[in-house]
Order: sequence, then structure tokens, then C-alpha cells
Amino acid sequence: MGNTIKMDLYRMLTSKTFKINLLIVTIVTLLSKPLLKLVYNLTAKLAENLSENAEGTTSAVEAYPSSVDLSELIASPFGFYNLTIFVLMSVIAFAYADIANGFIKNYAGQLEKKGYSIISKFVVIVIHNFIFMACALIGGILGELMTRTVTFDADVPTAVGVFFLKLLLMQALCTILLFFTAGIRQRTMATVFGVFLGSGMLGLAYFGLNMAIAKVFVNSDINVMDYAPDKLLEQGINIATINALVVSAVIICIFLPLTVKIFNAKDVR
Amino acid sequence: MGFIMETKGLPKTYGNKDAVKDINIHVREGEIYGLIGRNGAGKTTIMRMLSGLSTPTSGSYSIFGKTGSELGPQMRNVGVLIENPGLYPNLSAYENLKIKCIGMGVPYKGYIENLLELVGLENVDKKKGAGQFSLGMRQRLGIALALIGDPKMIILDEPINGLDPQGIVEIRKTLEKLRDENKITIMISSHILDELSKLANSYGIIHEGKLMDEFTTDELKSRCGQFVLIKTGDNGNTIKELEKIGIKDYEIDHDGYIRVGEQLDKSAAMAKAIVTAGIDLNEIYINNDSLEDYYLRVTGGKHNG
Repeated sequence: MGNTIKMDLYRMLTSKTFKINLLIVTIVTLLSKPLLKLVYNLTAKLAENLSENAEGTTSAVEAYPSSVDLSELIASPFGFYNLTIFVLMSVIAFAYADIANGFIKNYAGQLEKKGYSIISKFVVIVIHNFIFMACALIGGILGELMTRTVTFDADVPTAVGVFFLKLLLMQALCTILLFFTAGIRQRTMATVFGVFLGSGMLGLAYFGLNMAIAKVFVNSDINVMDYAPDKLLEQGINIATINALVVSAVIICIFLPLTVKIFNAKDVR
Repeated sequence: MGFIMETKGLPKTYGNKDAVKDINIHVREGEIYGLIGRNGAGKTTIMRMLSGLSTPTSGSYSIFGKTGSELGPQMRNVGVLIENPGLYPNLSAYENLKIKCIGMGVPYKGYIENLLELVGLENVDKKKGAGQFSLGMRQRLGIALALIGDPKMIILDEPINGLDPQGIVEIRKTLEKLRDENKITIMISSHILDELSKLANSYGIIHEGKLMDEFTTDELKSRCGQFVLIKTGDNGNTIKELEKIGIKDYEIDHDGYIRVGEQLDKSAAMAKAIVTAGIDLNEIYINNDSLEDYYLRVTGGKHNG
């Protein structure tokens, strides 16, 4: 099992898709803050010029904040961008690669249990997601340091907890994708689902679900978005911890054994 | 000699269709077992089950004397090449082998070079991706992948498909070396029966999902009777002449030869009768059944004349 994990880790680290997606995420997080400051300053200058031309008015644009809390960055490593999609696409490519090219036939039969292949991929996806989140965080911090001061505040320990909570949420999302790719071998379905999850497009579906629930259960104040892993991922340091933990655990506990079961039952082709 | 692999009534059903049924295969340690059958006969299905890539619908099989839950740890000793080799097209032969070496916990430095030499890929450009390999090169790399971890048995599904004549000979020599020097048991399927007959010690004939026959090379010799082959310019009159001297067991094969299966000691009399009747006699000689002939006979591919 340990060797299978090492093999999958090597496969992942040498894959072009992984490297390209990781590079995109790191560069976007690194450059976004200096670019944001540039845009902010340009806007401020424009506002100032306009106010100079209009008599009796003053500039309403506040100065770009001179510092940011480290906890804020740790709790939201991807910032406010929909970078999750790159992580999910990389996961789909990794989980499906050996099935698509048939390499899995070379080793699956030699495993003590075929299902180890799924467990191994699951473990490697944890590492994969950690690398993405860590690189995004480092990129984000470096980007901030280029523009302003990063303050080590008292909430950093809490933010570290949130970071790992988000890693768990991300793992839950990826377990669903693992089910689509390695379980039922539907890469297209996985990609569509991944795009919807990663781009926040499921918000409309959640809105519809909320309306349906409100119709069925009158006076219900249930909001599906409070339990949707992709929406929970968007929350900051004040994330609904219990919801995130329960939702992640439920998804993983359902989809991981299901994927192993389906993989064991199906022929390896 | 004991059986290294044995199946008992192995079936595989997809939906309502039996892909194979009641398969009882016996593979001896250290031999090359040839699995023969037409496309869709069920060879690959059997090989998939025996290599752990597919689960039998019921029945049982043993490998190295282990069965059921004890089978899992033994599967490490069964290398496999099923259908087309599964390769990472962007990675070189070395890198493809390295991935499996890591998975099998095999130290790969030096080991991979030896494997590449064994299958004749040592001179391939180290940066060339497997996607640019010819089919023959891919087959060789597939065999090398199956050999990682020094398995006691390898299962090769059509490994000489797409190889040029020289490649076929090289693969044959490699497999013979693996059997004779490395003591590896090999199960192999192929359509090239002539080539298989040069290699295998035992055979199983699969036809329409059933194991029709299983035999060793010695058994094949005893089962394949001798016969007289006659080639003339006029088969119709030749048959009349043969019947006149009391020959009834004959057939005309697909190459136009008259094949007589009785009174082999009277070939001289047959020749005399044909020549005396004024028929041009082109060839007459005594021959043995080949593996192909026997296969066709067992599967009903050739009918008596």
C-alpha cells in the first residue's frame, strides 16, 4: 500500500497538468495583490483628478490599506478568486490518467486488494490539495509583501485550523470527483461537476433548492448554502466549523467506500 | 509436477451473456501455456480473471496453491500484459518502468536498464515518449512492465501482435530464456499458431467461451495422426482411383491437397494407381497434423471430406 501511494505521488508530481495548474494558481495569487493595488491607485488618482476639476468636491477614495492580517491570508489561501477550479481539474486529470491510458492494468491485479488503488489516490489527493493550498498561500503572502505589511495577528492559530478545515472540505469535493473518475469512470461528468463546483455556478441550483424547501416546509429557514462544501470553502475565518466538519465527513464516508466497492466490482480495462 | 495455476468451473457473465463458462485450466510450474482461440472466444476474459483484473462470476481458482482470501498476497507474483500495453505516452520507456518499479517497491537503478536490454529496447532514445513507439516497441515495453518485481508467472495476451518477423523471433527467445533460465511460468495467447507451437509446452483451446481441450506437446503428437498428402492435377479422378484400391478416409483441404488418413503404408500403391490412370501426380508424402490442423479439428473449423 505504501509503495502504491509512492507510485501515485510520483505520477502526480511528474504530471504536466499538475505542474501547469499549480503554476497558474501560484502566479495568480502572487500577482493579484500588486495588480489590485495598481488598479486601486489608478482609481484613486482618477477620482482625485475628477475632484480637482469639480469645484467644491473632495476625493472619496480611501487610501489602499497599508497592512493585512496574516490570519486573513491563511484562512483564505485562494483569496477571493475562483481558483478551486484549477485544483479540481488537476485532481480529475490525476485520478483518471492511469485509467485513460490503461497503465492501471499493469499493476491493479498485483495489488493485494484492487481497492488499494482508490485509497492510494485518495491519500495522494490530500497531498495534492495541500500543495496547491500551500503554494497559493505562499504566493498570496509574497504578493502582499510586495504591496503592504503583513501583520502577525492573534488569530493566526485559528486561521491555521480554518486552513486545514478547508483542506478537508476540498478533500470532500475531490472524493466526489474520485467517484466519478475512478469509480464510475465518467470523466466528462466529473469535469462538468468540477467546473460547476469550482466556478461557483452551483449557486443557482442551491437557490432553487432553497425555494423548493421553503415551499415544502413552510416557514423553513434552511439554507442549503450553509451545508454546501463549495460555498463553505468561500467563507473566511468565521467559517461554520461544525457544518464544514460534518459535511466533509459525511461526503467522504459515503463516496470513498462507494468508489472502492464499485472499483472492486468492475473489470479493470 | 504440480499445477502452479488451476481453475475450477470458472465462469464470467456480463449481463445475461456468458463470456466464458466452466473453465478448468491447469498450468504446470515452469512451462509455457498457450491459450488458443478465435477473436471473442474468451481468451482475454480468462486472462483478465487469472491476473486479478476481473472477478469471476462464480467458481474458484488457485495460484501457487492459494485460493480465496489467501490469493491477494500471491498476485504480486503474477505479471501481466493484457491487450494493448497501458503506457504513459508522454513518458519514456525508462520513466514508464520507473513508475511501476516504485509501485512494486523495486530499486530501479540498474534494474530498469537490465529489463530494457532483456526486451531489446536498450538502444531506444531515452527521451522518446512511449506514444511515439511502434506497436512492436510498445509490446516489448509491456512485457518489461510485466516482468517488474520478478514475478514467478507472467500472463501475456497476444504479446507478438504487430511484431515484425525478427521481433517475433526475439520475443520468442526472450520468453524461452525467461522459462529456462529464470524459471518463470508463462501463459500466452496468440493467433500465430505456428509461432506458438515453437514455444509452448501445453495448450488450451478456447472456443465460444468453453475450454474445448487441454493438452501437452507430447499429447498433441500422439493425438495428431499421420496422413498422406497428395497433390494432383485432377482431384476428382484421383479420388475415384483411390476408392478403387479401397481408400475411404480422405478429405480435400483448403489448399487443394487430398489428405488420406488410412493405409499410410500403401502410399506407393496410391502413387502407382494415380500415375497408371494417367493423372499428373505433383506431390505425395506422409505428414503430421500441425497445431493449427488440430485446433481446426477440435473447434470444427475443418470438416471431413
